[in-house]
Amino acid sequence: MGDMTQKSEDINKDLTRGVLQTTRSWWMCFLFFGTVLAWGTGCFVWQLVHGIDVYGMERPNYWGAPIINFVYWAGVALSGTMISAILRLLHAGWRRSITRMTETLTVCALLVAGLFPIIHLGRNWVFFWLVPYPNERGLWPNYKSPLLWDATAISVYLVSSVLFWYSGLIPDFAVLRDRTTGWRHELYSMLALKWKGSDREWKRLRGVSAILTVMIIPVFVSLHTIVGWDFGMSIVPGWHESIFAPYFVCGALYSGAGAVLVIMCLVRRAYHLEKYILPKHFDNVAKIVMTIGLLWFYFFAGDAWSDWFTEDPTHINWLVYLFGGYKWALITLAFFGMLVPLVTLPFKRLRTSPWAMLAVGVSVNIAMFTERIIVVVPEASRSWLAWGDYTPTWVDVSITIGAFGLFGFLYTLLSKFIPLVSLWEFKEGEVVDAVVTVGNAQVPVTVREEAIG
Amino acid sequence: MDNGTTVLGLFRALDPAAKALKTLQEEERGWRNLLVLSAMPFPEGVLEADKSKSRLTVITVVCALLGIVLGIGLAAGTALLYVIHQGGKPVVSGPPTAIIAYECMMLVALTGVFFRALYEMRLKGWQAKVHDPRISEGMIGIAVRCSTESEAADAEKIFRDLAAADVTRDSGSAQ
Repeated sequence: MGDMTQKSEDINKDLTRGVLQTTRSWWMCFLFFGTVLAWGTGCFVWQLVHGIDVYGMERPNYWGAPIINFVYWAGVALSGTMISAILRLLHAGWRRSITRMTETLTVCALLVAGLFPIIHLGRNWVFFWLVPYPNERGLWPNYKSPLLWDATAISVYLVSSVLFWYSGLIPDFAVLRDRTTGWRHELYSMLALKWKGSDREWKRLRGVSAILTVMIIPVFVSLHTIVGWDFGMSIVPGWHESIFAPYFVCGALYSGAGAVLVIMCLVRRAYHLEKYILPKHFDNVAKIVMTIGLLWFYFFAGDAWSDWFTEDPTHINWLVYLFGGYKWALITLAFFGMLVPLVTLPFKRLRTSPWAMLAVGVSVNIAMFTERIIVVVPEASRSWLAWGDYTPTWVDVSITIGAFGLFGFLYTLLSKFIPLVSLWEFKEGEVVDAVVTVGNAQVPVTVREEAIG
Repeated sequence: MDNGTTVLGLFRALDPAAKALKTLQEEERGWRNLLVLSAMPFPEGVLEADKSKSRLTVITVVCALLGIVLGIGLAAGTALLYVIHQGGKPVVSGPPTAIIAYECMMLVALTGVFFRALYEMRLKGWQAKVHDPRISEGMIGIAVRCSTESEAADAEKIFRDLAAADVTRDSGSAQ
């Protein structure tokens, strides 16, 4: 083991550049997303003034754009922590470059997702009635409603994800504390919680990280299971499906893994991290996307085909409607969610190309947003005797665009305060990974990390 | 002990730092008087002085049990506090109670273990200045707490003999 100081300094310099230097392109992104967010916020104010009628919802369809957005963003939020947690558990060394940016993706997407149930409330200003607290009316939330399970699950996942993300950030905040002056030094000193880098601190960090990793996996599975039950626990034809829980988990993983590809490509380009995010990272994440995509298609087709074949009158309506009135949604889903990934991802040359993977990530997310429309709209529009329709208004569209603005705004803002590649994890990788010569071959070797000391 | 001197040796490479630590450990200085400081974790046993016991797993289990009680209290207890009769169904429903108990179990266990880890990370008794910004830049620090001047001089010699990039002392009055 030679001189580690120079290598460590170089890593610090490269990976904190985005935090310590503010470029014009950062300001442009910030202003762009800020403007989009401002427009979305304005539309929400418009909704507050004019009521929820500003959306294109029509009886019996009460779940339009806000719930489509909620399910979509909760799905995007799932994969960030999932990729990070599962790769940690599997001791996958290549994870080190991407865990931080994916965990940040989860936190930002979850903050966006959590807003939509509140936006969707008729009287948004009393959203705190969802919180169980002893009030003067003696009322408590009705926990028999799956919607309240949802509020609980989102809160738990948000807290868990923030703890998971923050615990890994503490050592990096200490590095930033030591590299900054003035108010930034004060801020990072506070966030670093007096971290010194002692072996005791590392041991505890490793221990808590292992426990959080193991526990966060059932938490994210439960979140999307419960989102699936929001639909599955109703008796609306097309929603009342036992397959919805695993199907939602799988769909969430698919859109989230696609979003990870997008984020990896954009962060790599924006912060010049070509040395850290390599083609092999895109290759590996692309394989995950392909595996999840095939699984998702299996669930989707299994559900739809059994309804189609049996022509069960309680289920066939939504399918007829889908092949008729919402044909465009099904075609979009098939093209972007199945065709594009399946003709792209089998080829290694494309999997290792960041721009091709950006395109696949965007394609998967277009498909999964459409899939949310398919889940939310046709079924609710053909419910028993009442038949309604759903045509998005300018407010529906604006609030959807505003959600992307909020996500971009939060991510851009956070990228100014945290390194998007974990400094200490990357340095750890430099210590535990090596290449040895065996015969005529160069063989990579890794010292296995122990989870809890 | 708090009135003694802490000697901090800073090393550019791992091997001399490990040798310095081993030499100090062979001199039978208690593990509570030794501290390894680095900008990254090392695999177990590579550079390790701390032998303190961790209660993270126990705390996780205890907090999980508390969470279950909290969840049952929230879902079943509030249903009993404000009774809503729904078509002859029981006032306290099993599946929702189980779901909320599960979520609360996870919430309390995760937050509990996180705060316990922060508590266990404290460097109790280390009043001296053992942190140096150069550690963040990749240097490895070995800090040793010495009760006498001869011990401190001995530790300093060990560090210098093993080509420490720098050796500093602190009396521990302030951090």
